[in-house]
Amino acid sequence: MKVDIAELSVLRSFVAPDGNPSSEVKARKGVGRGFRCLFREFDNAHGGAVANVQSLIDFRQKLPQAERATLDALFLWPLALVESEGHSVGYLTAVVKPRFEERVRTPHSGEVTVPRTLDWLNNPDHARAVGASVVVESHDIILRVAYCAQIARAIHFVHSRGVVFGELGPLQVVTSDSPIDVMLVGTEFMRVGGFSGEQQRVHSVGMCPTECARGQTVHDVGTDRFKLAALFRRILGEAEESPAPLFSLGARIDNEGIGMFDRGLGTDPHARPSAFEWYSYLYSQTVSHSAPPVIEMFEVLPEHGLRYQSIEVTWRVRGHRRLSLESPWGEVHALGIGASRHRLTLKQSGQFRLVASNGHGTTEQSTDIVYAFDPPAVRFVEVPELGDIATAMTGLDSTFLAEQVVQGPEFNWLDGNFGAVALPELPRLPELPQFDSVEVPLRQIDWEGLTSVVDHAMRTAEKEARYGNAGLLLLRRRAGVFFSRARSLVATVATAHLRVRTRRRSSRRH
Amino acid sequence: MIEDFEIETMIRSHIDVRSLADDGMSQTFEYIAQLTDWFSDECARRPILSDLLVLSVSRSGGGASFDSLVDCVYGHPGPRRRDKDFRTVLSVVVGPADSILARAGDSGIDTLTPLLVWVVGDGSTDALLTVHERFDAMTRRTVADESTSPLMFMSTCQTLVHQLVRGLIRGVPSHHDSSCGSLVESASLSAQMRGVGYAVS
Repeated sequence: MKVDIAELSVLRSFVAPDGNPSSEVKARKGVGRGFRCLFREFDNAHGGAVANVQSLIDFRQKLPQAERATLDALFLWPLALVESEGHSVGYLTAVVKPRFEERVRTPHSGEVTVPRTLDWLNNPDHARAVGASVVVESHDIILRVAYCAQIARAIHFVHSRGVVFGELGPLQVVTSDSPIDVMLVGTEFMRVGGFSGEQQRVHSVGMCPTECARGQTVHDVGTDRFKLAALFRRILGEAEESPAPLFSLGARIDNEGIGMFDRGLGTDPHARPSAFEWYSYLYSQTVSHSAPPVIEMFEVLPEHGLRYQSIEVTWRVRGHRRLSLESPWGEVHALGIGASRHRLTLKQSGQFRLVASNGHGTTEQSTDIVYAFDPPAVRFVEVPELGDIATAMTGLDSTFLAEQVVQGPEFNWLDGNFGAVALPELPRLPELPQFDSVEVPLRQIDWEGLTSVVDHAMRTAEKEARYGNAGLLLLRRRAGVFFSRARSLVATVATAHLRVRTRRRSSRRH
Repeated sequence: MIEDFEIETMIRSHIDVRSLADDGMSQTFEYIAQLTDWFSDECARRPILSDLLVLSVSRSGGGASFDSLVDCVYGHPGPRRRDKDFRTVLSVVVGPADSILARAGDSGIDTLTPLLVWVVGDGSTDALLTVHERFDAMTRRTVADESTSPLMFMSTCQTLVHQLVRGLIRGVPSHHDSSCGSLVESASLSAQMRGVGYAVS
């Protein structure tokens, strides 16, 4: 549909919030929903801009009736091109409804009516100072979340139909408080999917996505999503002068919301939350803030620990405006709304308690008892006297020790102690035959048996030596056993030897 | 884990207005008063303006007589600290020809900033080219306005401010020298100036 400019009667002219000259006009019947329309002149009526607006008009015409009604409720959509002498000079839209306007006092011009753009929502002090009828306090996070949800819903409506909004900024959205509603007014930079006309750089101040920081003219769903996050950041109370991008939001929204801002303002366009994700989150926030908070998870890790060990308390809470953690020893930690974990030192056994509250009530939850164990302590170390282990030390190899001990090969202290140690008194040896005498052939001795007897006796002696003087008696006893067994063995050998000699003599006689 | 990202910083654009007139020059005073009144109303009507634009007016001999960051702050008790970065994007000089010629040398106007010189009073047309040549700004428009009404001055300033704000809102870099320069020397601005003499270079 095209309208000749001569058919329009200008009712009033004004400068739109975005600086564009605009006029409220009376158009012929059939344009829009009434006679009154808004005429917006093209900033630069080049072929690409005209063709783009025409594609938007066609898009609207093709929508089913119900969807077109939704579109008209959410957007100031182009309705018809306006021509002058055969050239397109602008386009018509519906007018902004009075509920999206604000009446304010000016210092020199008296009361004036202005569109209630988002900068009014972002500056409640200003709104109050000039007598605006709607002042949304910065701490009224529930109402602000509701406005954000409505914006997300509108953007999802066009995104889900293949339309990129483009110039999303604080002056492209007007708000109403009764009912809570929004309307998007900057529509000439929207792009219907598949339109391949010339692209303009249309980023409102403070809304430039990272992929356009060097003047690139990217204009897609990814840039819309970035602007959505940037817009919500300001609405939810992050001041322009904030020292960090999400400085104030940590105390206003929960951890899930912080994560969404993190992705939404990040450099990866594919990671940014969609308008539908935003709407789902914001709507759930609105609902959850209509009842007392819900604590979904609250736990301490590890479940028990040593006293003065560092532990971590984690939780998942919905719908809270205030949050505090009480420890078994009486400390109360006020927590940020966006926090989801807290580290502290376990000082005492007991239960931790999480208290979440909002305007509708308070919810508490306690953990199981967290036990704080005292760490094991070594109260006394007994080191045996050097003399008691002298026999064991005789087996030490100082060369080997020199390699193993860091302090090096200096073992003078060890040698000196050897000299000072009195050897234990050993039992007297009985008179025994010499093993290597002619009378006792060495090959007839049971060396394995003898060795095992000696080993056993030595092990026993060593063991007893380690356990003090009591072992000495045992050592003597074992030594006695050893000698008695050795004597028995020698006697057996001697008897056998005697039998052999007797047999040889008798055989000689025969 | 918060990703390391940065939000685009807003740098306010500054319009530097100099009133080069002798004290008691009521005609120039009226020009300045109307400009500051209008800008105060604009700031009240548009909360976003204080984040985008600073308008300051200083008289000859120094001393600011108007600063929008102080005088047009609504909702913040007391003067706001002027500690945010801003960049002068346009200079405006207003006054009678003799005062402008006498003080042009020590005005301290940056030669790289686009300049609008508004010569008021009798004899301004005769002095137009002399005044125009007296300034070194690379882009400048000198207007000789012999009327006794500040209407054209106001409409010209309003057009410049609207165009500037429009560019800022649409993301045109305000600090880009050619942005305001092209506004000052634009044909559309010339088209508004019916009945007055002007020089553009």
